[in-house]
Amino acid sequence: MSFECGSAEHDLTRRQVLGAFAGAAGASVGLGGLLNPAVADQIKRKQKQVLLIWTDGGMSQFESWNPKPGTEHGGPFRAIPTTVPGLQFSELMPKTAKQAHHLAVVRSMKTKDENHSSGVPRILRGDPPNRGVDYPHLGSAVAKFMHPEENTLPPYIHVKPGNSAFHYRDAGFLGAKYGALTLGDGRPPVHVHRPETVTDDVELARQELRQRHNRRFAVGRQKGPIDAHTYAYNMAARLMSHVDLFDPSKLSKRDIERYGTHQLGRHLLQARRLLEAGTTFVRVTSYHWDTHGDNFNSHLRMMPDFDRPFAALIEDLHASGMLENVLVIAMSEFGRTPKINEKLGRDHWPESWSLALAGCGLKSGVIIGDTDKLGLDILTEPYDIGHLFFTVFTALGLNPLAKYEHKGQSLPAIDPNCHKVIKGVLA
Amino acid sequence: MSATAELKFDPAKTWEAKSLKHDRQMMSCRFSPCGKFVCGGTIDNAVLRWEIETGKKTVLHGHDSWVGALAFHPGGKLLFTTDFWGKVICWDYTAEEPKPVWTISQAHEGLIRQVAASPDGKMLVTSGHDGAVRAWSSEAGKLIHEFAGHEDDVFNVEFHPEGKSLVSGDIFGKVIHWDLATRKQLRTLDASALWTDPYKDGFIDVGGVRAMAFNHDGTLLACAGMSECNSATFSRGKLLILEFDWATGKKVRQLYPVGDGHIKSVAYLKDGTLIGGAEGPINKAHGGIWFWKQGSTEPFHKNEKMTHSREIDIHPDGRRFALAHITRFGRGGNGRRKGEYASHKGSIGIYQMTEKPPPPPKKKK
Repeated sequence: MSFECGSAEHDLTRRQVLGAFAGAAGASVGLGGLLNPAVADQIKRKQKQVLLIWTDGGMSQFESWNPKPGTEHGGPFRAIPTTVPGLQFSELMPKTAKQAHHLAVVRSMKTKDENHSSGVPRILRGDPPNRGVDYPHLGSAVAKFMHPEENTLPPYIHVKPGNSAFHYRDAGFLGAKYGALTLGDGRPPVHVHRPETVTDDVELARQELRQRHNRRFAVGRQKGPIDAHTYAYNMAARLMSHVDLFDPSKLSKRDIERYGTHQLGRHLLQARRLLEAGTTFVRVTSYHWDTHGDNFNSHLRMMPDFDRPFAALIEDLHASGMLENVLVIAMSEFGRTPKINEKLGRDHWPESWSLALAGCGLKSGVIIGDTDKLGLDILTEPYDIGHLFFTVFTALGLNPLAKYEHKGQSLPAIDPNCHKVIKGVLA
Repeated sequence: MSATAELKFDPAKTWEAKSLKHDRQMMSCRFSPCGKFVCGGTIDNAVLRWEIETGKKTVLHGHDSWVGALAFHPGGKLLFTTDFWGKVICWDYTAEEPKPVWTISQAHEGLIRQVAASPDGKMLVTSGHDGAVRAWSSEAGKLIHEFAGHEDDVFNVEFHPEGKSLVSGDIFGKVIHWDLATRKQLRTLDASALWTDPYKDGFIDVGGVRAMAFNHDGTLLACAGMSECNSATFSRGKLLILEFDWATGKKVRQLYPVGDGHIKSVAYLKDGTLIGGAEGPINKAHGGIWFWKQGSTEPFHKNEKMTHSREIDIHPDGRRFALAHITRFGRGGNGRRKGEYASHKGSIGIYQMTEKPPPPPKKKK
């Protein structure tokens, strides 16, 4: 199958990028026994995975990872102690506070874009220098470099509210193959269950007919969307052998209670199942964190929806041993302004914001960076999104200095201005 | 007596007689029963007392978080103030330097939304984000009773003027009528139009009974806030006041002043005029205030160029009202530009509901 990207031309080879992680990333993952403990052990030992929890719109750092109670911009909420001495979270995160010893909290993010429309893709793509190409999202890059060829699960799955789709544009110049299979509300693609009346022979005939029509339709048309459609269809077909992953009857009552039955709770529990099954990169998106108006009432309602399942997830990944190889990133495209506006809201703030990391050999129970008492300026070394990408690549065992070769251009995988890790995160 | 006491009462000619300023946003305001003071709660954790005539300002320290609500004891010298960490403080507000008379450090788990003093002065009632409605003795701050009936954030609580009933309203627009003698729930009123699930996904509930007031004879109850929120991001929706006939519990008026967000305050004048005040859109300098005659759905007066406001209170003389304001200061919006980074400020505006007196003649040199 050929893809829009013309893979031979621009590919950054797996061998080139794997660096210290060579071998491990290519580990075979058995598919027949997804729920088999032995296979799960193999996954735990060998395959690095990523979970990106994306709070779209911008979670307030004051109401989460970096509270400043009693200060001019601090807002009305308390700071509470965590399991890490000296580290405090907002009182809106009581459950996460009990898992703080598994986290590395970075309070010194300073990025460049204060707008959603341009800022979200810049952050998700690592904000590389403008070279006139669309860089891949982190999920697509990780999917390309780390997904074991033998693993027939989609390498990059995105769980979010709303509809399902295949977001091939996430992959940028890597091509449709590395796009995101988006599962609306965590549901499998429709009709993923093959009716019992359709036999193997009938199914084969149906597929051949479909492919014949696809080939005819593709003549003279743009390849990108057609490739994406074809790839998504094949991916969905492969998912048909993993329908157990989406069977709610397989969930324990205890898990449902711990994660919650609300949207983000269900989605993070689904994410855990996808990780357990061996999915290389899972992104979970929660919307509506853009609180220009009534920020404090909004965070009062929304933070518990984050806190409960996030804490349960970290606890579970640690308890199962998976946290050793699963990198968890909880972040938005920016933080929120210190200044409290006239509708008790907070606006966009890329100047000094926070995120949380966990797992995959990172240090745990650490605070990276600090801001002044008003939360305006970073007092320590500031980090851009490129530094985060550099750190993530390094933690995953990928070579962060590698370059993509794309249509004659040699493109750094990570912004050359950010070629250093976030100090104090790596063990 | 005010210098404007001889001027004809006319709310349509309302003008700002005084602006009592503060460095941070105001959350609340109330006149003392004697009419000599106006007090306010702020987002820098202060209670402010102004002597209206002189403008003398005294800061009362004791709260740890935003002071969201305050209420005066109807006959005594006591002021009750509440904050967002669950604390209630009772002050002797008449003292030169007021000190706490008693304190309840954890009256609620988290935010206290409202406090009201009973007409007989024996108790105060608080409502909170924890879904609780609690009655306390005015004298010592001892818990008298907990009214169980709400499941979530109780934004408002108010005594009926006759003093025999209590009413509370929550985020879902559930309004409960409580009998004070039996402490039982008598009925519920439906103000659910003030609640929205804007994205139809259960992620965030927006709205609630953000403002509540009885008219003077207790025959009408106004509940206000926002309906049909179409953006939790900007807290944007239709301003709405629901007016209930207290005897029947039926809605008698639905008022939709043109605006954007929540009605944050409502109050009745003695002649039945209803006043509603609101914040305005983000990054705009103006909110609004509207006046309706009893029974009318068209405001007979409005000022939509008024500084953003949060709470309204009517002076005991019935001719003035106070508004807790937010005054835009410095650049707002996203990010930061070069230069200072300043917080918005606040004030309490004292408004006179009469024509504006002519300026005194200039003295000849």
